[in-house]
Amino acid sequence: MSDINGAWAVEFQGVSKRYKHFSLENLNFRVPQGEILGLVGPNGAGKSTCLRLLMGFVQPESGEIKVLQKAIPEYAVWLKERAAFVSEDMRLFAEATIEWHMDFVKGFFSRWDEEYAQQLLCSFELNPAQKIKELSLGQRIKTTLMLALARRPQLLVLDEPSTGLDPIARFELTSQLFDIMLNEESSVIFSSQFTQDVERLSDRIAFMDKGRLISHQDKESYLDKWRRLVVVGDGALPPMDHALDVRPCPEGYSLTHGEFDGDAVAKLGAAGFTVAQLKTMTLEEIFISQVRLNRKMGGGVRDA
Amino acid sequence: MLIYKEFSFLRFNAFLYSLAGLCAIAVNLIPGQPASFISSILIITVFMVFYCHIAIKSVITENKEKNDLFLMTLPVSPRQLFFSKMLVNGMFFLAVWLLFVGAISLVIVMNDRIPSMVLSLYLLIFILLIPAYSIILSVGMITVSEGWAILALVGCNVVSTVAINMMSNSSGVSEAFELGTFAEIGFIFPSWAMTFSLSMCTITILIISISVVVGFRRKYFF
Repeated sequence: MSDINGAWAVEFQGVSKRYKHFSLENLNFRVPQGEILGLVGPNGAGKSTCLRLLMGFVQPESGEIKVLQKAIPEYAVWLKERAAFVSEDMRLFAEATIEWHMDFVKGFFSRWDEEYAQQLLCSFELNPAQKIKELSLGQRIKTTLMLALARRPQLLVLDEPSTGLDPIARFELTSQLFDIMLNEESSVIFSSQFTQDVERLSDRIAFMDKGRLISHQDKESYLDKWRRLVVVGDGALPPMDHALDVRPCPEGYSLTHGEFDGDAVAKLGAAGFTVAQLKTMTLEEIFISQVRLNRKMGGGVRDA
Repeated sequence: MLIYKEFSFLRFNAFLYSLAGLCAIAVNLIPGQPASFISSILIITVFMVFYCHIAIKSVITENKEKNDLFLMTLPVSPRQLFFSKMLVNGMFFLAVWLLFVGAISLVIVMNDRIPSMVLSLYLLIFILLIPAYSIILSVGMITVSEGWAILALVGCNVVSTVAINMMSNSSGVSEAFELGTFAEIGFIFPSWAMTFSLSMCTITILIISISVVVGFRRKYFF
């Protein structure tokens, strides 16, 4: 792992992929080595296509993809020796046992860690003699995760791993993933429509909507910058680029602000308004507001 | 490892069909024409179901059950995946083909009641089934579509059944049943047997060549 320390784990430059009824347009983002990127977006936003491009399953129409400093899809086989991919719609062989899958996958990876695989089997409470068809959805996802993690990948790509699970199973899975990720030096890219999962697990967050990356920042920046506020003052509120849901209320105005900092307070102060109430927002609220703000502003990408 | 995977999943089917085929061949040992007739229908049916089953299982079932996404995550190229399936599937077909043909030949050669022409007819039918299997496997591999594979399967089986019927009633075959057993007259072949066998070989080589070219050109999974 030391050969790539300090470098970008993933680099997308102007990547586009077009299908008949959907296209991914001009994706630009970079993920530093060792970080966890959460990719958030509604169904059909292009998260899965983005991750499949990253793994080299799909060829981009334009742009450049580098993963672990190698060009993709040219080095896709090389990458798959070092990166693991787990997807919600990935199915193991129903008639085979967990043990058979472990033996099968082990044969491809010189870095396979048998001791760690056994440890994961225990912590996931999986019985290796069980056939895949006998497992619950949660157990199947845990088996695919175990098979991915025991390879000791430098990059772990998770495409909606918790979709389809009930809230309790989802919480357990993300808790176990969180424990694993705390002790790993690997980079992780993790897509989900559940913002709570992403908020728990990620260092950086990218929002996608309609095939475009609409924002890409570290988690703290989102949580710091987005605020719901009530301002008190007379007259009309000055126009603000990053304001949404501006509504008159008995005290003055209520609004959502996507770049709330000292400058925003100063601008409001200059117009004769003071901040009376300030509320933090959850990542889900931020995501919804970000999508709406992006549509309002005409679709640029905000990168920090 | 891909070969190991294919082998693991197909060996049980191959074993079961081999067992069923050997039982069907053993029916020939029962004296009387009805037993031979029933045996011939069973042998051909078992073999045709066998190759259709393994071709569909290897190619379509994995795609349908979304196992291919799991395979894509392994450090293998689309070419390696393509050729491992073709190779193992073809090997199982060949092994069971040889087992059936060998067992039929043995039973007929050792038997003093079955006409020698039956052996020739079996050999020609089994030669006919090689391109039929190649077409089903190739269409499945190239299109990875259940619909196209089933169309190829039905089409090939209809054509094969008609061809088998025509072969049995053709000149040089129907009258030769009366000539004698293998012990009495040895191998006999209808005059068109060589042309027919060469044609089937040419068709098979052509189909396999097309599949190999398509396999080599396959660079991406999607």
